[in-house]
Amino acid sequence: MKIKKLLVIPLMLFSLSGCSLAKGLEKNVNVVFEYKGEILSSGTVNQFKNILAPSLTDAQIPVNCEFFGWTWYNPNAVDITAENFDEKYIEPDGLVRYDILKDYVEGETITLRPLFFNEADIPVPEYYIAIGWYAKTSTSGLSEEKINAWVEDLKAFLLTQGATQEDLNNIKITPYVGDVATSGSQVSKDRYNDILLGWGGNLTSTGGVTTLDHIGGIDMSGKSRYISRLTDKEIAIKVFKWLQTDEGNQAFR
Amino acid sequence: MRTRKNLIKASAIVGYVSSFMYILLTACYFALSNSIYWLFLVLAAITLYNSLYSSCIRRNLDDEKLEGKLKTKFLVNTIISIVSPISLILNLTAYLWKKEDRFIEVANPEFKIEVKEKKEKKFFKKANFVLTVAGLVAIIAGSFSANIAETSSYSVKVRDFTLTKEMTEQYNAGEANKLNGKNYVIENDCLTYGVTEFKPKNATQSNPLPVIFVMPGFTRTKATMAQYAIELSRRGAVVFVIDPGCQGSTTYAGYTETETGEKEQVSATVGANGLDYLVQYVFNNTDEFTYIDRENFGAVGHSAGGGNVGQLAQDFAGNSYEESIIKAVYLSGYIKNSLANRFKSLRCNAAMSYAYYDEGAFRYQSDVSSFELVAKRFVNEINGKDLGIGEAIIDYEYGSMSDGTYRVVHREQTNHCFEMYDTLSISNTINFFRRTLNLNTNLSDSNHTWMFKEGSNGIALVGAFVFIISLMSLLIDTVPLFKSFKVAREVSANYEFEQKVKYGTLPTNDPSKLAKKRFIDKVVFWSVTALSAIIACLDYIPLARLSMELFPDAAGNTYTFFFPARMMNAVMLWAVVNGTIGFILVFGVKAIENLVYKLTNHPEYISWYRFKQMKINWKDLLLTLGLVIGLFLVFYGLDHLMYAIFHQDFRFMLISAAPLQPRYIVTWLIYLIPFFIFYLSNSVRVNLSVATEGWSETKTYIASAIFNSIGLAFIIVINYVCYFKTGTVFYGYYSPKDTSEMWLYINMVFGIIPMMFVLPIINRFAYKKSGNVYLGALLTVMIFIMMSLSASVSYIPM
Repeated sequence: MKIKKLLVIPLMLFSLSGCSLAKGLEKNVNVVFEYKGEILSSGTVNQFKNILAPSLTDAQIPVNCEFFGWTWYNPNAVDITAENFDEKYIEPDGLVRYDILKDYVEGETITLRPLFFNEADIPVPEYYIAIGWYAKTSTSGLSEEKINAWVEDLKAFLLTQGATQEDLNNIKITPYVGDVATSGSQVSKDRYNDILLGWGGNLTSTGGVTTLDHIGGIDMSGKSRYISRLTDKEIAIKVFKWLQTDEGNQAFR
Repeated sequence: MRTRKNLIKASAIVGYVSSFMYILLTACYFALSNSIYWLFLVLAAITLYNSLYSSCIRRNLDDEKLEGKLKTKFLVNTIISIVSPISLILNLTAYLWKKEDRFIEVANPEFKIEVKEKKEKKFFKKANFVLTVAGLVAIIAGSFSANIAETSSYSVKVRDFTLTKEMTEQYNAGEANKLNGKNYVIENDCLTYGVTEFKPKNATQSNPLPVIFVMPGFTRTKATMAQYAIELSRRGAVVFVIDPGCQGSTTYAGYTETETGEKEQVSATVGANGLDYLVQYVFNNTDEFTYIDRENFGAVGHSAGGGNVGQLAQDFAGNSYEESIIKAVYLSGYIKNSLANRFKSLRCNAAMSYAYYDEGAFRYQSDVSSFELVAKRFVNEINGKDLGIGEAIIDYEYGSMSDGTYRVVHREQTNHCFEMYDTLSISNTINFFRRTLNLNTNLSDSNHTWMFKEGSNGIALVGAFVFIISLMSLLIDTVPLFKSFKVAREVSANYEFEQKVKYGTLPTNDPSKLAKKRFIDKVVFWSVTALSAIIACLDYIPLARLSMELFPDAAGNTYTFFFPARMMNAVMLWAVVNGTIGFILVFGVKAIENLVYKLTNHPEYISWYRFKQMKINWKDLLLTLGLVIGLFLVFYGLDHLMYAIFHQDFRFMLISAAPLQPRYIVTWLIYLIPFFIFYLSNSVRVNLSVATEGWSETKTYIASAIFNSIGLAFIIVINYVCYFKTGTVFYGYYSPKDTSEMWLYINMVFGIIPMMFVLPIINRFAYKKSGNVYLGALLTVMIFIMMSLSASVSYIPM
């Protein structure tokens, strides 16, 4: 009986030691962000701890290039057209998680390098029609509710123009925030928009966006705002015309 | 020499341990979604049955030598024991052992059971009486000692009050009472908040002290945040702790009428979950709160409470640090975007903490919601601007305390539900308020006394159970009214004694009484036990999910009389299902066994004891009910008495017997019957199944306690093995497609396991005293369910 009682002590200690196992199970990975062969920053990740990927200043990004983020692959070997491209890098300010990197770590450290692509090499996604809207409600008068209502009207119009359900599922609506320069710059980077809604006359100047049509005087929550056409796709021309009718812009008022 | 038998015994014991280890591995691999767990489950079963068979062979060696068929069987069993290598070695050694064991008669004709005539002890020397007194002493001493700790040796005055609509109408309404342009007046009379104030005795009109508001999280009550109140008040802060909506002593918020005349529920968390009302009331009430420094208000909250104090700080922010009513806010265990979106509006010093091992972190692993991003926003979004200083460095102090831009982020190495009991976390909170609110104290931040209160309350809790059980025993033994209980217990004691004699636990002088526990009997018993534990482990989360479907109102925080305790609904469904399964297994298996015995001509094994012992006459049932109700009232009567005298109830961390509230009494009545199924099932299993195995009493107690809690314990094992291995809890979302959050239901299990461990022990004790299975079940269901409900949330419209 005494032996049984004595056994209880090591068993209890063994159970308690389970608590410290948690620490032992942590697998730290040192993440080094390398820019031009030098360490830009570093941090440690494990199952319970992430870090944020750094961003680069405009000066650090090569001319005519877009900075996609940080990759643990050879940046020169990353194919932007590959199906799993999105899984090969972490966006600037994005979350660096142990789960993402664990299978690629050799030793305890992994090096992430910036992933740049020449703007000309970046494929533009294809949509049936792509609409960008200025989500700074106080300026544009547009809100998510108004845009949702307008998209319903748009779909009804597109159906009259022979669009299929597949086409309707391939409509891209993108909100843009920030000032005109910031949002305009993002629009130019995205390159896929056919039509823009809610900016002012300075979209082309301050925003730096090249438009094919740029018409003001559209009532958006009582504000006089612009609509802009960026491409000469047939459906974009039709929608742009429709936008100038009462039926086409009533949802904005 | 009994070397061979000892070797086999050792082999069996090692086998049982190996079986448990295989089960553990099964749970681990199951947790990691690795299908190899099936292999370990099979190995566990093989090892278990192999060991059971070894035990049977060992018993047979009493009568037979190891030769012939027995030898062959043992050889086969030895080969199978390869799955437990140490057992294999021991079995092989036993098999090859040359010397025969000396034949040992278990039935010894010379043996006589000597019945020692016990001298009737004096009443006050009887164990029951001594334990009753000891329990009472523990209750009083524990409560008294907890009271000393809570009041910091009576240097802090602790009192409860209720915040009503009338009080807020008097102090919060009207233009003159607006704080930063806002009035917070309780809308409905039905909504009242339970508040506890910790006022240092040196707080006077001439020495006004800073004020700190403390907010518990979802399903917690103000008493669970006492540690913050104790430590801050003993450092010179007036502390107010509030019960959130529908929790503790705070009622529901009632209804309002919409413009269309429809009745609409007022949210249970209205007014920053009551804090807005309280802060404005305390600030404006210069008649009563003359001893507070209105320039130094702070607030701390944990989990959902963290979100509430964030809202509070924003609601009272004004346009500058000078205007802000809340000068310092500590946000603990809460990193939702809804809170992060408030950061830019804060005009006060702020700290944020998030447990390193917070189980809820799996929800925040994206670029827009992670702790790292929220922490970055916390230190960057100051006074409506983005400072652009990058990722937050843990424990680094940003900004300045003098202008309300101070920010600090902590990550203590603890988990979510114990973060509020973590000493470092509490020290960090103290440090923050000591410096931001200028607390006048010489105490170091790590000087804590709250654990003495916790420990003392724990002693009182244990004392209360010892008292109530001893009192039950004392009443049955001494009050003539309970004579029939004594008769019933003799019947059960005799049966159990016979079983012990039959299976060799007790010696006998009558060899004809000896029986060997057959392999098949052991297989049936252990298979049923393992099956019920596995089911209990695996069905909890699906049933918790089902509770959301069956009780949508409670699950959606809608006021209802139909099972209003949202989190307890999951436990109740689990109890109903597993209680029913328990009945089916205990009675169904026995009925099938009897049928098999009858068909195979083994009438000596047939037993209807289990079924017969369920019978109870009306008189005994009424007596049982009367006794249980009486004991329940005594238990809670003492609880109230201790609360009235010492401001202490019976509790230990997450387990508590809070003073009774009308809303919880009604809720309790709703839940009693469904839960009773489980509690009775447990009593039946312990007393009519496990206790008839012929085991020693100690083994019966320990085994029953383990059987009843191991299924739930394995939920924890599965959840945390997965968590520590992958960083994501096993029971996070219900499934990849169904993102219902289940992780909070696991937190409930922490509080339930100790109760499940104690439950069969009380059930067994009550049965031994009364011979009926209902007494323990009724007593435990009444006390445990009231305890669990009052420590959770109930959306009952009261």
